[in-house]
This record gives sequence, structure tokens and C-alpha cells, in this order.
Amino acid sequence: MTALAVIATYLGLLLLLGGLSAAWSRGTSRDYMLASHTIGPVLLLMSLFGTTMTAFALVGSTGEAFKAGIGVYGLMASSSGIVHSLCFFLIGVKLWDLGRRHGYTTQIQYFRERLESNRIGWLLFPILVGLIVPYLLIGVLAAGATINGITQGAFAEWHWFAAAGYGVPPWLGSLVVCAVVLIYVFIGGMRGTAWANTLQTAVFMILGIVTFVVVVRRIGHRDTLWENIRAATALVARRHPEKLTREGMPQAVFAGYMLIPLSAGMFPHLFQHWLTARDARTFRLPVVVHPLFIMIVWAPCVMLGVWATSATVDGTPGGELLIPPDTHPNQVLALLVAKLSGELLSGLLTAGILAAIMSSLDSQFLCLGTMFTNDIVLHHWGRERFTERQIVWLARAFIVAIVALTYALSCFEPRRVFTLGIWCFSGFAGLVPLVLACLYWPRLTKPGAYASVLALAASWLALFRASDWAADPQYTFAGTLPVVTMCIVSTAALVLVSLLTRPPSGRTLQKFFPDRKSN
Amino acid sequence: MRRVVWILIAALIVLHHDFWWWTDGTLLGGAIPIGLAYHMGLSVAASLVWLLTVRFAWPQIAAIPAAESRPEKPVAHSTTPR
Repeated sequence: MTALAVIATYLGLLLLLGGLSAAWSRGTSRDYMLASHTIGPVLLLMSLFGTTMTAFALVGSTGEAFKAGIGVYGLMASSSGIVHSLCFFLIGVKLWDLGRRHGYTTQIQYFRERLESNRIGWLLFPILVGLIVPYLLIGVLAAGATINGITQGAFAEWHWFAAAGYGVPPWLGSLVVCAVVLIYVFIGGMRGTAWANTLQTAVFMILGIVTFVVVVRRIGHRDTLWENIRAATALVARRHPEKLTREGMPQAVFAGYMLIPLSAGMFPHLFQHWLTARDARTFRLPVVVHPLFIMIVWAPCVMLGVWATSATVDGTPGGELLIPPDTHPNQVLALLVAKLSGELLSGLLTAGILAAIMSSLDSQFLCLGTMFTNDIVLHHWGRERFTERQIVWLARAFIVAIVALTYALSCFEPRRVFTLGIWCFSGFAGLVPLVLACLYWPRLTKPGAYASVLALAASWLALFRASDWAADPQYTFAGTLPVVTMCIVSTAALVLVSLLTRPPSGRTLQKFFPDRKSN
Repeated sequence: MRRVVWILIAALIVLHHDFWWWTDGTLLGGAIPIGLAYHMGLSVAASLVWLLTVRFAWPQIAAIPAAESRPEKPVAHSTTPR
């Protein structure tokens, strides 16, 4: 019950922060969606990091390390440290510049002008929303699983919670988290989101380190931190030495994972965060510090997942396992925390996990509302038909609809967090050749862009179907991850069709490549 | 220097595929698996390379005069392809 009280207090604090940020609102749609471009380096760093680190980073990494061992860090963390910053540097700064110059609020507004095509928006909108929904599902599912894991047995008298191990049922935990995020996004818009992200990023980083120290102490049963780490690792070396190497992890699959973090280059919610930056120099801090922050969060989580494979109740090699081998990967971190820390700390640590989850959900909710308002409603019916207040309410209405849909899906979607995330990230990664070509290749044509998007959509659907709709977490194509095929197919279509079709007009080239020498 | 920075970024990507530690179970200090320690080191190296990048290869972005910075994307009332 103490744990639940701590979680409830934390959620209340977020609502308060959302309310406070509303007091700074300028009342315009631009302020609601982009915080009037006032975000400085520290807030941008925390927002970008909080947004990219999801349930996937904490719950997913621990669970996947529990299954696959230390290789998970190389798969997702060190690669993200290189590739995310590369995306911020190559794509983010450039799009920020174009966004400020031409008044863009969404990616689709840019693509429509760069590609001289109105219809590209109608094609991209459902694809981007379709890929964001599974991403949202990751957070919603993980939130429910986390609260359930931490409260199991707390409601022994409540028979209607029996199916959930006498804890808060996942559907209820997910519902509460969705409602809290919805409320502070609803009230505070982008400014509230940036503030909440900063608080949440600080919370989950600090509490993540505390979790690590507390859990390893209880696993190791020794005096010092280092001795405990050694003892915990020694248990793994005895029971599961393969978890300390990448034995059984195909090298082609590992190499393929390098493409997954490219997805950050096409996340619509990151695009929106980029546009909030005060100036181009604001990006410098996130570019440099992002890899270090990733290490601070991922390395302890991966080690916890590996240790969980062999940790015993009494710390002896032959003792009873703390986490049963058949535990669902999504629940490993929550169970470790529940079993190895006191009620108060348990609640704090759960708040940290929820912070990571919610710091992504809020940006995703907001960006969906922004896209619907700008790319569909205002584009179709014209801005002059609506007041600023109506525009903000349109965004809010779409956010509520999408949250309701995602929540409903979460009640029927029991896939592993990690597997679901990989498919969603693969789709976004397959769209990155398009944005790179838009920014750096003047020869890219409208048909080339359509061909790339359609090729990506077709290959994604075909491979997703072949994986039995993500039911097979080990699915590979041509010996490696499906994302490799998607990127190759979308790039090949883009280049070939662009070279075979008429180049963009001189006016467009002059607008987007003013320094280019005309032939 | 700009070229050196790009070479370093490429090197990070190549060094990420550390096949040489694949099945090596060595524990650094008896605690940290070598494969994990290497990739943590790569994270630190990435941060240093990005530090060099922002110092020596940062793009020249001209300041946007207030009058030129568009306050809002004017949305045409249009349903026909351009």
C-alpha cells in the first residue's frame, strides 16, 4: 500500500506540473504545440532523452537481457549513442532551421513543400500514425505490467484482483497512467510536456541508479557495492555463463540492429521537440551528452536482467531462484524491485519506471494531436475557418481519441515489449532514407519519394505478416533483421525512381538548396 | 578537421561490431563482462567524438532575422494536388 501511495503522489505531482505550465501559456496553438520555440539546451537534452528512452529502455532492456544476456547493450544502447546523436546532428539541426524559416510544425508540412506534393501527406499521415500506435502500446502495456508487478499480493482480500495475482490489474494501471498523461498534455501542451519530461528524466535516472545499488546489494549479500557486483556476476558465471557473452546471438542480426536507432530520424514526436529549440546551438548539449545518458540508464538495466537469471533468495549458488525462468520478460524488473526492496523504495523505484514510460507517452500523444490538426484538418479546411482556441481543442480531441484506441488495443495485445518496439522502430528507420534524401539530395523527385514510402510500407507489411504479426520474436529475413531489407528496399526505390523521373522545379530547389550551383 | 571528425564517426560504427569479444567470457575485475565493458567504453568514445563534432564540424546556420522567421505555416485551403 505504501508503494501505491508513493506512485499516486508522483502522479499527482505531474498533474500539478501540467497545471503550473499552463500558467505560462500564451494561449496560441503555436505555444501549445511548440512552446513558442523557447526551449534551451538543458530542457532540450532532457526532453529528447526522456522521449527516446521509453519502457523499452528500462522494462524492455532488463527483460531482454534476462532472455538474451549482455549482448542487448550492444544491440540497442551503444548503437543508439552513436546513431541518435547522428540523427540529431544531421537531421534535427537542419529540420529545425527549415522549420523556423518556413513555419513548419509537422514533418508532413515539410515533405509537402519539398516534394511539391499535396498527396504525400495523405500517404504519410496514416503510416506515421500507424507506426506510432504500436510505440504507444509499448508504453501503455509496460505501465500496466509494472504496476501489477509491484502490487502483486497487496490486495489479498480483493477476490476480483485474483486473476492479477491480487495486485492492481494491468488494465487498471494502464488506464490510470493514460489518464494522468492525457490530463497534463491536455492542460500544458508542449511546455507542460517539456517540463514533465525534464522532471521525469531526472527521476528515472536517479531512481534507476538507486534501484541498481539496492538490488545488487540484496542479490550479492556482501558489504561493498563492488563485492556485490562481483558476487551477482559470479552466480551468473556458474548457472548461465552464456548470458555473459553473445553466444548464440547471430552476428548478422547484431549488425542489423545498428539500423534500428535510425528510427529517431523519423519519429514525429522528436521532430516536434527539435522545433521547440531556441536556436541551433541548443542542439549541441543533447548531441554530446545523449550517449552518456544512454549508458547511465542501459548498463545497470542490462546487468540487472542478466543477474536476475541466476540470483537466488539466499545468495548461494544452489539456492532457490529469485526470478523463475519462465517469468514474462516485461515483468522481470518489476519483480526484482518488488522482491528486493522495501515498500517505500519499491514505490519510488516504480515511479522511476513509470517516469520513463510517461516521458515518451506525453510527446507521442501531443505529436499525434498536432499532426491531425495541422496535416489533416487545417490543411483540408483552411486555418481561417478556425480560431486559435478551436485549433487547440481539435488537437486535444484527436489526442483523446488516439489514447482511447491505444488503451483498447492494450487490453488485447500481450506481445513482448521488446518485440513490439523493434517492428515499430523498423518502420520509422525505413523512412529515414526519405528524410535524408529530402535534406541532402536535390535530385530526389516526387515519384521517387512515393516509390520509397510505398516500397517501405509493402515490405514492412509482408515481413510483419511473415513473422506471424510479431508473435515470433526471433524472426529474421535473409539471416538478419527485417529492418535491413526495409532500408535497402526503400532506398533502392527512392534512388531508381528519382533518377528515372523529372527533377524538382527550380523554385523548389532554390528554396531548399539555396547554396546549390545550378547546372 | 571536419574530415577527421567524419572518419571518427565512421570508425565508431565499424568498431561497434566487435566480433573479437563475441564468446569471450572474461570478467573485468571479476565483475563486468568484457563484451559489456567494451560497449560501455564505446558509449564514452561516442560522446567524445560528438564533442569534437560540435566543436569542429558544426554546420553554419545563419541567424534568422525576426522578420524572416515565419510565425506560423499558412495553410492553404486546398484539396487538390499541387
